[in-house]
Amino acid sequence: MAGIDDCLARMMTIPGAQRVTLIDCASGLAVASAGREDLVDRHEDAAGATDVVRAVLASPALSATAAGDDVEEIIVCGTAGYHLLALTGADLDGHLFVHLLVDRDKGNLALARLRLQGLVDEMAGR
Amino acid sequence: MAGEASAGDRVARTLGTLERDRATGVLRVGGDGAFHLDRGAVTHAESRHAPGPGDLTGALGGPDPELPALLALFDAAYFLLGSGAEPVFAGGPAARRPARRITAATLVHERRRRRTLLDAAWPDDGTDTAPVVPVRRVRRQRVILTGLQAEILLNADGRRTPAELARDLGRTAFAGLLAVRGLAAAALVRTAAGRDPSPPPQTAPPPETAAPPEDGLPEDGPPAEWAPADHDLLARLRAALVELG
Repeated sequence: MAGIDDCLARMMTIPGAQRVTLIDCASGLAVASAGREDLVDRHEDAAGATDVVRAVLASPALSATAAGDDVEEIIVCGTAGYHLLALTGADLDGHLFVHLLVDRDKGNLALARLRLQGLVDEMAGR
Repeated sequence: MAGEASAGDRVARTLGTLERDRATGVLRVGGDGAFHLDRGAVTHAESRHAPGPGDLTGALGGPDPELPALLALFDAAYFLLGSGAEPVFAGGPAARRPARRITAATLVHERRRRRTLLDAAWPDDGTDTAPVVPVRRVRRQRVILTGLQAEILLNADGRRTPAELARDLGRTAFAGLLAVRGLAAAALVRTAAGRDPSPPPQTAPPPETAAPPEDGLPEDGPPAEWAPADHDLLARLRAALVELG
């Protein structure tokens, strides 16, 4: 249990981090989460974020190459915050992704991306 | 649909009662599998349709064994809650050290949500239990598949069901069901259009009946009923017999 909860706790130390959820991509199940819960129900949140990931993966218009490249991360920028959806990639067999909400004023998008990617790699045992 | 709702309700109701009683022990659901309870909460679930944590560990990797265990629990609960078998509870000491405690209501809610996802992808549950048979011709210029959908098409042998393929690929059974419903919607697998339109109420039939015929073409059985009688032919036959007599 320490592995994942520890990783999520460290993701919450990213400047501006409001909430982080680890989600099973196949079912949209929120596997674990940390941070504030007052915005939306974390299970509804997980199901909605999964819809976004599925839509992006299924869309050839969002591919950078003709053959279709792998999607690593999806970023949604709101006026008040950034949503980072980081896919865990082949090491976790594309099973999971991390949904991190970062406050726009307190956080920094570039820094959050770097820190999150490092922690996702760690969680995947890389 | 109504049949399954009542059958699944029985397992869910029993689970709810055991939760209120803060029971500890094992709830067996016929031969389909079992829930393990610790003071009313579900700590472990296993279904013969769903892979165990060990089947998922290879694909999930990572340092945390809790992850495959949690996914396997929800995966098994999906099938157990839809089972038509009789649930039987046996009290006893908690078999495992409970690393997680899930309420009955959470499992029931999650099952309902997953059914909605499946029906949104393709509204016919016939593909859930039938062997996966890819189509021979694709009548489109371009198709988009998820990684799992590609794996399923590459590994389909006309015998294994979505759940069996998912287990062999180290994925949850639910992921397999969802992928195959998507393939059915994209007309990339054969669907049971010619088969009995009202499948049995269980989530999955026993393996004996799920196995396809030897030729691997489950839809090409003998015709279900005789062709309508040809009255002209019968009249001529009768005339010929009368002449013989």
